[in-house]
Amino acid sequence: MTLVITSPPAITAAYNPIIIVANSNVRDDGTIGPAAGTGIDAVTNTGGYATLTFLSDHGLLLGGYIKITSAPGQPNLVGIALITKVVSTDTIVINKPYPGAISSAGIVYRYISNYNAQLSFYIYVNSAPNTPLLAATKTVKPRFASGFCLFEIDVSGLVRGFNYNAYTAKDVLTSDLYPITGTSLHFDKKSFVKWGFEIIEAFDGPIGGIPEYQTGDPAIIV
Amino acid sequence: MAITIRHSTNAALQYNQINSMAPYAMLNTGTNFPFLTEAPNPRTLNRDEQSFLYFLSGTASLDAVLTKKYYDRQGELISETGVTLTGVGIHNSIPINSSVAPDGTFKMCVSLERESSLIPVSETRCYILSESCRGTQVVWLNKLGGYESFYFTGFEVETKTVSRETDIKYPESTHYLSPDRVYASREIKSGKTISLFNRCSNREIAEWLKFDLIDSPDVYVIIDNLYIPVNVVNTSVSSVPYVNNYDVSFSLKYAFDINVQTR
Repeated sequence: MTLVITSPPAITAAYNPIIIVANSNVRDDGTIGPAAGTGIDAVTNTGGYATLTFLSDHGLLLGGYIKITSAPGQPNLVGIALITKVVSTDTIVINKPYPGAISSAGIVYRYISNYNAQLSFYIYVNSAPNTPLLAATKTVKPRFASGFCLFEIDVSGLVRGFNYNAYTAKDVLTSDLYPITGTSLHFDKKSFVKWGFEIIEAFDGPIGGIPEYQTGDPAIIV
Repeated sequence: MAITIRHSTNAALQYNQINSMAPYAMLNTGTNFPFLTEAPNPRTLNRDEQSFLYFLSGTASLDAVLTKKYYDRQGELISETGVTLTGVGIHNSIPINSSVAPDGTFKMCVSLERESSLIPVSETRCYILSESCRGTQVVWLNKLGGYESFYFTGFEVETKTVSRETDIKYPESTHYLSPDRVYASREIKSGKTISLFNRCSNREIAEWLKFDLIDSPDVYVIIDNLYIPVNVVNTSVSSVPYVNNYDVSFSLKYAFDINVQTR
């Protein structure tokens, strides 16, 4: 999974939406990447559960999810399933009952369950002008655009809760009214928020890495 | 992952604008960056007025000289001053007043120029100096995050409103020397409202006051060099037929109660 982030401009107005956009390569049906193992070659029975044998290496992980989008002759197999055992590089067992053999090759994609993004919002204060301080975290669900997931986060509410001089002040972006008389210039007092952010993706199931293969009798986890 | 630092200022752009203050953030490249004001240019500046020009800087090492030019009524340059800016931050303010204007000054123009090349970094804001034997200055936060000021030269009218709540009735008793108190109020709130007037010679000034001051969340009346916080409660702009003048009036309620004793 990757996010392509479009950041707001370097200097924005705190009282307008400050939008961070993160485009994901997760599709709007929760699937990602090409068909796993180039497709299902066969469906067999393992203790009453469906065992999928792929045409090539599947690259799937134990505890991950798949979405079966096509299972010719076995419509009950279509849908989302949990991988309960990774038998080999081209075979897995899922938590769906064995429905019978398929009549031709089926299609499976890796499925991202409970896909969301977590924003970490940092501020800088004048006592720590170069040290980001974690001020808030926010979890957002995706919306969909052009067939893919998209995260759109407005941080203006978070921005308005802080200011550069008195970051503990809530709901105040302090005004910066300078002394009324004299000819001295006034530089860089308050009236702005210095901030930054990070976004990470989150989902149910295992994260990345190399498939873990099991041997012997399947211990089915339902 | 390194975190990119961003800044958000105390501004509210309007619906036809993209949320970026970049057009206002002065840099060492580019010219004629606007100040954080939407006041008409030129505008009047009363000789007793203490005003400001706010600006944003997109760089901590802004190469700029604050230039003030003073002109007489014929438009001849009387004198010119320049102060090199050092220590500029994101949000900055230049005090604008006529305290150092030479005698005979009719117009004062303020701008930031690049020290190395004298190319204008900022726009030029001009002020026509005006005299008035009396008046009241109002200061307010504008939509761009800068403070504005205006000098109302009409006579101000101050009104006072008192509200009495929670009536109390004391036991009645007969007293032949002087009456006892029978009725009173537990809670007394007393507030003041000040109404300010000005006759503007052009529509821009009147409209600017009408649309900028009325929306401001942070307004002050200056009395004895003190900022007195007020809230705008009413405004009107009316034209004076045949004269092409505009009368502007604002009612400003003091943003605090007058201290009174309660029972």
